[in-house]
Amino acid sequence: MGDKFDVWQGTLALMILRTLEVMGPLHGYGVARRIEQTSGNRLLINYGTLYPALLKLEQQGYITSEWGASENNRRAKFYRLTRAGRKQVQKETRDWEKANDILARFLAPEQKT
Amino acid sequence: MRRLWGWLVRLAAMFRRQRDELEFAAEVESNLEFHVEDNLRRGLAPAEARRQALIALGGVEQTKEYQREQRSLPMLETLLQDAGFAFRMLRKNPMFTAVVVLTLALGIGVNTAIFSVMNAVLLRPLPYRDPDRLVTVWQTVISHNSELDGLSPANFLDWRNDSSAFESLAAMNYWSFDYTGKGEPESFRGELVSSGFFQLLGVAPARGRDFLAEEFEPGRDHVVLLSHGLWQRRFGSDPAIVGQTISLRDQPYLVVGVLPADFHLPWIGADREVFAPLSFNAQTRQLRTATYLMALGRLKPDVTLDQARAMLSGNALRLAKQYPTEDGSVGAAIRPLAAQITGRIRPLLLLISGAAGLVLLIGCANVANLLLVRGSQRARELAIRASLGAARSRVVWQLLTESFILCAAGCAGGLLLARWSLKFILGIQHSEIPRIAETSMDSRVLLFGVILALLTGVVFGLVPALRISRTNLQAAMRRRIGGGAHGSRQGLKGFFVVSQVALALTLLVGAGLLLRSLVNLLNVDPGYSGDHVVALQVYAWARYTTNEQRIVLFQDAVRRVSAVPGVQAAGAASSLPLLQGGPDESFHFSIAGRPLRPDQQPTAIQTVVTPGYFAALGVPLIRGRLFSEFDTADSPPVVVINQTMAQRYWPDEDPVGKRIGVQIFTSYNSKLNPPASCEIVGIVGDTRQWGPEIRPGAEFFQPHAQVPFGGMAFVVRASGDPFRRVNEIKQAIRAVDPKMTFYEVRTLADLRDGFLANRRLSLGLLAGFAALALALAAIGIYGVISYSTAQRTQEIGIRMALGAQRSSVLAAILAAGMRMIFAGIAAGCLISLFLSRLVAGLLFGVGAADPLTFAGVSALLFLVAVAASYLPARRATRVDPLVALRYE
Repeated sequence: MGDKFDVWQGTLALMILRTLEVMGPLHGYGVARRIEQTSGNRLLINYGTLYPALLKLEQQGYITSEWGASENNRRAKFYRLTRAGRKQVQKETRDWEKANDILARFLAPEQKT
Repeated sequence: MRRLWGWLVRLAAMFRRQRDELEFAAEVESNLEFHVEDNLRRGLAPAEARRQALIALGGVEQTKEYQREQRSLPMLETLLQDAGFAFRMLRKNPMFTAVVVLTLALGIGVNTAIFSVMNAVLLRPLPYRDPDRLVTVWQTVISHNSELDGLSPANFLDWRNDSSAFESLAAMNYWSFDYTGKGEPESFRGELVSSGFFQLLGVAPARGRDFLAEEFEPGRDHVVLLSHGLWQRRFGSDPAIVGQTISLRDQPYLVVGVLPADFHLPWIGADREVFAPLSFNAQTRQLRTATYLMALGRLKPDVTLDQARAMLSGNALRLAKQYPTEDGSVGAAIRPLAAQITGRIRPLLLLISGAAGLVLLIGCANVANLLLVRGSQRARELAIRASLGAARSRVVWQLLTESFILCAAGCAGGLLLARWSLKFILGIQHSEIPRIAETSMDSRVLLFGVILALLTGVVFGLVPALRISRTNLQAAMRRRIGGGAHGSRQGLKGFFVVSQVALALTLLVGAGLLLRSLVNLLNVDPGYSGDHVVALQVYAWARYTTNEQRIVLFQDAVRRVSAVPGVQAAGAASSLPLLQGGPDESFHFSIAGRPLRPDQQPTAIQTVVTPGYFAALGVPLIRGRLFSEFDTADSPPVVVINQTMAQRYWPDEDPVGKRIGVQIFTSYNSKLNPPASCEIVGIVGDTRQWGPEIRPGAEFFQPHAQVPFGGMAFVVRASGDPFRRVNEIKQAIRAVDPKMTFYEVRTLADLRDGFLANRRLSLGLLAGFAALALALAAIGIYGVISYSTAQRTQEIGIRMALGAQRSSVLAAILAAGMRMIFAGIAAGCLISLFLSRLVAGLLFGVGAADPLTFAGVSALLFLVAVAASYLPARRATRVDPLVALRYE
């Protein structure tokens, strides 16, 4: 594996949502590719976890899906962010920032006072 | 919220699995194509592009499986799959399914029905405020084994003033109210209640008001509260009745209110219809020996029952010192109201519910056995499942699912059955069981039924499921279906059969003992012949105030009744056998010529009769003479005594001609007369006054002409069904007094049946349960023997082909069954010996370990069991050896 990470538990959902927010409607393959690109190819998306994650988000109502045609006129299932999904992105982003901030304080090099 | 929605979506997804499956395959396919195109764009050869895309995608089936798990609810899906499979299995074996469901439905139904009665009678709190604090209060007669007695007015008033145990104490006095108004004159059952009675119970009238404090003063006490039932029945639910005046006992009474519909006093027998204030005048306040009041108390919140007993006994002791002649032998007793109500019926109900529980246990054993048998037949199927990778827990779950489906069906059937049987139970009137009319299938009963069904499912389902799933895979696969018996599993089946037989025997013993008791009771000679006799009770105190009036009334009435066609004999008595309350020989008398020791004053039952009484009731004269019309108020006072009295007080001499001193008072309000010296003129046979179970007490009779009571019961012997003559008899009496009202009109046969009603009911139920148990045990034995013979078909065929006699093969099979049956009977006898002590209180003339009953039911059970094992055994030996050898 070396330089490639598996996606951390619980972060995949946010990545998917954020990707859809930035890119607009995408099919599953596109989402996976985009996440891998964004991570600078340091993440490897496993389809066995991607599809259930998409399904779960859809069941929770954060995204919806419909069949449509791709650029080269191929039938594909496109996922799109819903209004609830948009809110969820903001909320989870804030949560992550907070968590990062806290963790950063712990991990910062010890300062002698 | 989101999460819940997610679950719902997943639940819904269960119903469109196929579509989702196809759609997902299409999605995976299209994404794969994207990947391939990308790879092509990156310059890979088509085959290589596809190969790499497939590698990146990973295991397609695995991905699909993950997807499935997220898509719907796999646990639930498994469960539904199991359930669907179970349904198919059960449909394929309709006989098995029917027997199991029916067995469970019977077990659960019987128990639920009995529980609903228990719930109403024993468990539901009494419909009063803080019913736990309510107690009944009694005087006791210390010299007479401290038996319970009512309270006298003076003692009641003293206790109420002095005792610090009670928040309040109230007295009640049975009173009949002759109503003359619209329609037929009628006697209402009523109760006089002292002040604060309804507040004590925490009951307020539904309409109108409670009695006022000043209405408990003599002269102002002509006010009544009506029961809801009477208000509906006699006054057409007229709301304007409150404030009106009605005529009771020939006096105007103001109706001040109507009581709530659910107001009952279940500890005093039949419901009261009219309530009026119990007032004490200067004279009654002094009465210390007339113990005619029933008392009810509410304990103070911080006083325990034992403390209250001690406090009240202290009060009784003080009164005994203060009034040694009247209260010298008076003690005090307190019983919780709930115990007072259910005391007598409680052991009976517990017995019946215990019996019902046994039926359910037997049913469980039966079903478990059937499941085991079926499990053996399915050993191969389960082994295949296991070898395909099914975990043991998965197999157990599947078997349990089947059990629970059976259980649910049994539960539904049982609840239906309970509903029907409740209708039946409520259909027959059991006034003997207090509060039974309140029986209903409330939520508690339903919960009981469901929990019972669940427990049952675990009990009968789990053991077989664990057993069956622990199959030796290799052995099961190698074995052909039905070949070769499994030793340990056979042992478990044997255990179930033995316990079924044992439990069935226990129930049979119980039913047998009760049956013998009932037969004994029916054979007891009551000392009178009650067939063809009807009794009509009247209360003629109020309108017949002088002795002369009462004497003339009853003389004339009896004469006219005697003239009614079909009437063979008629008389009247102050009390009749079976109509008097509990055993009570509390009437004091003295014997002329014997010194009187106050602690050993002789007592007996006092009964006032007209001359025709003995003939009407068929009581035989033993010696001397009966009363005649020449025994009048002016002639010397005479008494007739019964045999018990003669033997108890004159064991070695002839009592006829001897004299006894008897205090005569003819009404509670009259002054006490000095004891009259009465000559004993005759001895009559004993009658069992308190029902066939209780030995007759000492009793003496006085002629009505000399002791003119107002409350009397006419006793009329008529040809044919005496009840058909009631109207003519009533007319004859109304010819003397058109306003005469009748209180209790019953045939003596009817009274006796009422006495035996509880016994008949418990016997009927127990016998029914025992029959069920017997049938279940027979089915169990039949099932196990036929299963084991079916398994041994091949072996039997070989034996017979080698020349074994059919009879010896039959004997071998039967012997195996016999062992189980004998073991069951032996175990059952031991259990019964232990348990039959519980019914000892209900037995009459038969011991709890009655050898005849034990032997009889053992023989019956043995015969049924042998028949149940003979049928399959015979079938097995009838098989053609050739067929048997080829048998798979």
